[in-house]
Amino acid sequence: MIPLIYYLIVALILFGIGIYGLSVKRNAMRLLFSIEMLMNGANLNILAFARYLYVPGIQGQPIILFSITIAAVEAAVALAIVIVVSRTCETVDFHELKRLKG
Amino acid sequence: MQISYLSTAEIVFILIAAVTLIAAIIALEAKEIVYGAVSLGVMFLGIAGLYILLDANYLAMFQISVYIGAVVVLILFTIMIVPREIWLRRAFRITPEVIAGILASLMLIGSIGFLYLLTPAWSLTPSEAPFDWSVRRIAQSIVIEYGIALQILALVLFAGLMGALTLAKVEEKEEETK
Repeated sequence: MIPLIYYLIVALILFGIGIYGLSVKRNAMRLLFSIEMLMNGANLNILAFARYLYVPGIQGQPIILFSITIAAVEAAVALAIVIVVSRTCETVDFHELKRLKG
Repeated sequence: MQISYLSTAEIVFILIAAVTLIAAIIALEAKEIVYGAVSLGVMFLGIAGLYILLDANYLAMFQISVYIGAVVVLILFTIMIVPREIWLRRAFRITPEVIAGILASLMLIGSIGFLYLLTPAWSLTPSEAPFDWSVRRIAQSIVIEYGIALQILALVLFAGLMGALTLAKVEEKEEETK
């Protein structure tokens, strides 16, 4: 069987790619992609640990179901914000949004 | 790890993992945002494949139907609604902030990976004890053990969707003043 560390490393690299996108990209949609990658990496990590417990159980799966649902809601709200911002400010570059700057 | 001892499961795992990670990088670095969205869908498919390798078939189905059926389609619709000139189209260039981002993520991966190697968890293999992985068991777990969380989740879903609708609604007064 596949050792646990393989899954952990894949989840970690996915998380690292998400961190890179979140810190470098300026496009609102790319930031949303990065957040989805972070959530997927975390889900994969949880599921790998849940599968490799000494006593196998179902405990990890409902939590990931809830996490996926929350991610879908968050994507819907984020896309609504992107539409509003592109309509009012004529840009999706989050470095250009300075209306609320103090 | 010797190549000659790779089992079928390991080869499948390595292929799926490579597709997932490469699709994730392309999703961030593709010049056209539409290609990025499609590549994000490929990444979600790869994650679903890893779920199947972890004996979570129902979760893989859920991942495909929610992420590819809903999130990616929603992203594609948003890309179509927003005018094309607004999307930043920028080829990949090495700038100081890109180098800083790559270094930051590499430091994160390196430090946590080093901690993984220090723990005994890296050699764990799944126990072969028989267990009921069926959908019936998941449903019982959701409704009985996590019943309150399910109710609150429904409220969160409702509130989030109402918020999204209210945000994206076109306000008539604003249209008139234009």
